[in-house]
Amino acid sequence: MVVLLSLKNEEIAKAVKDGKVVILKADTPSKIMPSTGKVVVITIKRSET
Amino acid sequence: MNMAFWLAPLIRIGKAKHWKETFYVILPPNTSTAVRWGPRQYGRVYHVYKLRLGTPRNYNTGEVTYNDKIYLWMRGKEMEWHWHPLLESVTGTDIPMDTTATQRDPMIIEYHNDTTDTTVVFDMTFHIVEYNEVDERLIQEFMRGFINYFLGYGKIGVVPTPERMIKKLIRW
Repeated sequence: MVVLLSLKNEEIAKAVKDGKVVILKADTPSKIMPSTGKVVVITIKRSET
Repeated sequence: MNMAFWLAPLIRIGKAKHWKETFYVILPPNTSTAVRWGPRQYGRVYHVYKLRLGTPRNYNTGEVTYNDKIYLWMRGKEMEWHWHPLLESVTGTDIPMDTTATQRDPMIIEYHNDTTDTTVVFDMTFHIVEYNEVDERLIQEFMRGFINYFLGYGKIGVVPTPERMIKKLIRW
């Protein structure tokens, strides 16, 4: 959780300020589709090594 | 014992995959929203057998925040709409599930933060067995084999056992 709290990048901070729900998820094959309300899905891409 | 354990023979022969998905959710005060969640590909099935909700925290301070004004509603193909308040008895423990999500019929999750001054952050993890839709009937039959086996334990004429189903699947 400490890691997450340090993830206050501009995109997240702006979405929170705008009253949007933020969903952070890793780069996975799943799909999150906003249905109603204000929602921002931020996908964390895995870096290629 | 979880579903992935029972389906291990199918995972081994490539008929199913076992994985989990975690996402972090940040809920500003006075927000509610709904999302649909499921596989990106048509023809795939997510069979969710376990959910774990993390501890809700104040996004700004990191302090644990239990409040019945912060809650989820969710449904799946085989799961009724139900309420998940982010309270102590619900979070931090495994919640058994047995429901599926597909492109056509995804899981629906509604997030609510009815507080007026607290931005909340929490994480949630779905444990999944994924397979092809065309295999769904066989997998259901395979699982039913276990149920029949245990129900019929000690009785004469036990109907399809898992072993027979594995053989059938491998041939198929």
